[in-house]
Amino acid sequence: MRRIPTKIATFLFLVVSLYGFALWSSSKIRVGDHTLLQHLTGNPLAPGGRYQSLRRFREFPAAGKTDIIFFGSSHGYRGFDPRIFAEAGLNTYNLSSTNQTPLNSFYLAKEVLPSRAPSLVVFEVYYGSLIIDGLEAQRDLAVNMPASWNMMQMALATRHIGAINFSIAKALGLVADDTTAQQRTIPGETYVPGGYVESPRERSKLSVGGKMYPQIDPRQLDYLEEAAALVRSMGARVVWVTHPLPSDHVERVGSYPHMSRSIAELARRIDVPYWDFNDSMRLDPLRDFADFHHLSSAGVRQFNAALIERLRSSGLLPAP
Amino acid sequence: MLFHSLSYLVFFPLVVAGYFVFPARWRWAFLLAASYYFYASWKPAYLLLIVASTLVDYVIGLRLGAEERPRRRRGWLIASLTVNLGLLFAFKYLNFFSGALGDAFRDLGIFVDVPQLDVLLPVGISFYTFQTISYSVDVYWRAREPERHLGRFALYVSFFPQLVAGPIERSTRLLPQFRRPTRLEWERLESGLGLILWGLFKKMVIADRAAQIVDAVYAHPNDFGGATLLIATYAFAFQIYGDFSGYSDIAVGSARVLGFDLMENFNRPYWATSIGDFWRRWHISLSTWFRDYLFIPLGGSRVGWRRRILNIVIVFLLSGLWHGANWTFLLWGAFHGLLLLLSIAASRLLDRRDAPLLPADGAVSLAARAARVLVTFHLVCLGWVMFRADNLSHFGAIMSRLPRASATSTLAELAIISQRPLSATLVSLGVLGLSVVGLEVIEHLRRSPARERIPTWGRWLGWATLCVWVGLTAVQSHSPFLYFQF
Repeated sequence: MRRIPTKIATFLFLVVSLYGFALWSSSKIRVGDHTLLQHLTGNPLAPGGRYQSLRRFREFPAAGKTDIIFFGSSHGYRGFDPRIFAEAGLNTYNLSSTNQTPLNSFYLAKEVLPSRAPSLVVFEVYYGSLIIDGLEAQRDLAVNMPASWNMMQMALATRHIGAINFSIAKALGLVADDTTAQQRTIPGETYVPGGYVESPRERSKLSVGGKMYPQIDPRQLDYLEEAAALVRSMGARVVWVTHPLPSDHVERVGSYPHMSRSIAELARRIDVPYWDFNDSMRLDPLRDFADFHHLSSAGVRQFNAALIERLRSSGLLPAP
Repeated sequence: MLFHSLSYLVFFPLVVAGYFVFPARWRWAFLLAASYYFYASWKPAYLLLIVASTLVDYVIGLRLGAEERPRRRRGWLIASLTVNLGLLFAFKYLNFFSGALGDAFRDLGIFVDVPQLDVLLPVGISFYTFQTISYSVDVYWRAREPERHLGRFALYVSFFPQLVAGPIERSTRLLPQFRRPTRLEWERLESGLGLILWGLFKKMVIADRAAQIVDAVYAHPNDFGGATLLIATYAFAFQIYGDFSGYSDIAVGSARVLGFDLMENFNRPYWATSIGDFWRRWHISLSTWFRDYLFIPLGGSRVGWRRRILNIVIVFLLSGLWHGANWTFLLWGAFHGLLLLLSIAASRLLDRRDAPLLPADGAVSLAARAARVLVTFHLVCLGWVMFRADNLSHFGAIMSRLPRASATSTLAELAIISQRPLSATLVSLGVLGLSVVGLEVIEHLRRSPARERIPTWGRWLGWATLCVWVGLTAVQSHSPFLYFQF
């Protein structure tokens, strides 16, 4: 009986040694364009590969004083233009990334906020990022950001073995190094310093199809709450914002009112301002949108002006 | 609470620790509370059902034990069967039969609103009702004394490792174990945890990886050529085997750590040389249940051939229906019954010959055995198509596509369904293929005397390698075990 802990410890040592060897060897074997490790962890991304994250997170440390930091999904990095905020005298930085959920935002905020002291943090709350597990964003961030304990915690929080293995391999220096990689140019979009991505195109037709009834993952609401508490603990103010969607999009999501109400109830309970701009803004569903989800440059201009106005009228920003 | 979830990863060590810390005379109570918590984690309301079933069979068991008059005893047995099968019928089959009745009326031009029950099938109901029925029948046959300790009887009905998907344990085997003192032993801990790991490998590496191919191909059978459908069918054969036997291994392993022995539910089923042999190797606890509590009471093989045929047909149709309320399961049961009858007829014909058809040993015999294994495996796979199909027309669509060639290559089709580059598809197929080969080799080794000769360091190295293999290649789907739906 007394020998059981010793035997377990010996066995665990054997497992950890074999595991390290397996990670190392799979990172050296190439199958097609990727290493075996990338295939096994389900993360085929390369630093600076598919999205603009490498440039965004690499530029951030040198961005200087920042009044507002944005977190969110692609709705965030395509929805807040730092040039428009700069015209209003505000320094902003957009740390949104593809499919970033509150789970990802929370650990990302833990990682980056201590080095900054923004007066305001805006979380873009898109229902599509509340119904998923945060794995896709974790894959993108794990590839494009340096390894750290917060990034490891993010991987653990996704509860996905592949994500955890990849983060461990990254911590051990077994995956492509983001410090030497270059950001790939992505056709059809322009990266604007400050983390924003501009899409010059406009929608050509409205969508048709049946109604969808997605449901919010309660864990994402928990992380939204935790992220708000984290920001407040650092002395900054926090706002949740849902940017306008095309009217045909909102109409097709049968559970939209219910989801919006759930977010509003949480916001009320913890006293966080929550503004769903689908309630107050009427944009042109074609001209003001780049696709079924995202704003076009024209839409961003109107939305950002309305947001700045709302922030000022609510006292969250000083009057000009 | 799924066996391959984080919740179970926390729950099980806590139960093991709590169980061995508790005073021996109260351990049954701790285990019962843990089992009820485990079951309630699906839906607390289900607890009412299992408690009701437990109380009914406990009381009926006592009455059966005390009663001497045969008519009264038969009456109590019928009461037990009525309650248990009634519950099963109400929750599992009522909607199926009322739907079929409604369809039949509609075909006759009569439009009747046949009522449907709007409830979820309580998880594991098919397993624990069969377990309680076997208890009542054993007491009725006086094969065992009624259990007088209500707590231990309740634990027999709800013992968490085998509660929701078996093995379906006999009271004569499991109940006495709850009285036996147990202590934490290294040998049990090692082999139990090893079995749990082996089950996780079968579920998360083989079954869930195979499911990616099966689900995508069977969802749109008309989009794929025969070769891809065939690969998907083989994949399903290993999905259902990995899934169900993986569950059984985790159940047996969990019980073993706690000091209890559950029966083996699978014995390398795809190495069967006939359909009869297959059923001696697949879901053994169910097939022996049907043998002991239905086939033999109906007269078994000691009756005329017409009656024997009828008995086999009844057993296989009910076995099919046990798996689910769908015509595809009935068809699957009938198909296996027919195959078994043909197999019996063929062996009778061969027995009439004066000299055996093939020599008993040597290369020819080995080749014949390999051919029998291959034929049996493919017949079983044909049955799995029925089993997996959503309905009869879906089954028809799959079967009609099987002989057809595709315009694109099979690899290209597989790459399309995985929505990944060809290299990723090849890696996934390679992992699956290697794992299936490893599965069969190790299952063989587990049952071979050579196992005893493996030194401790070799065994540990094997477990550690398996740990790493599962850690690196597991597919995370959060999908429940297939047999939960039965």
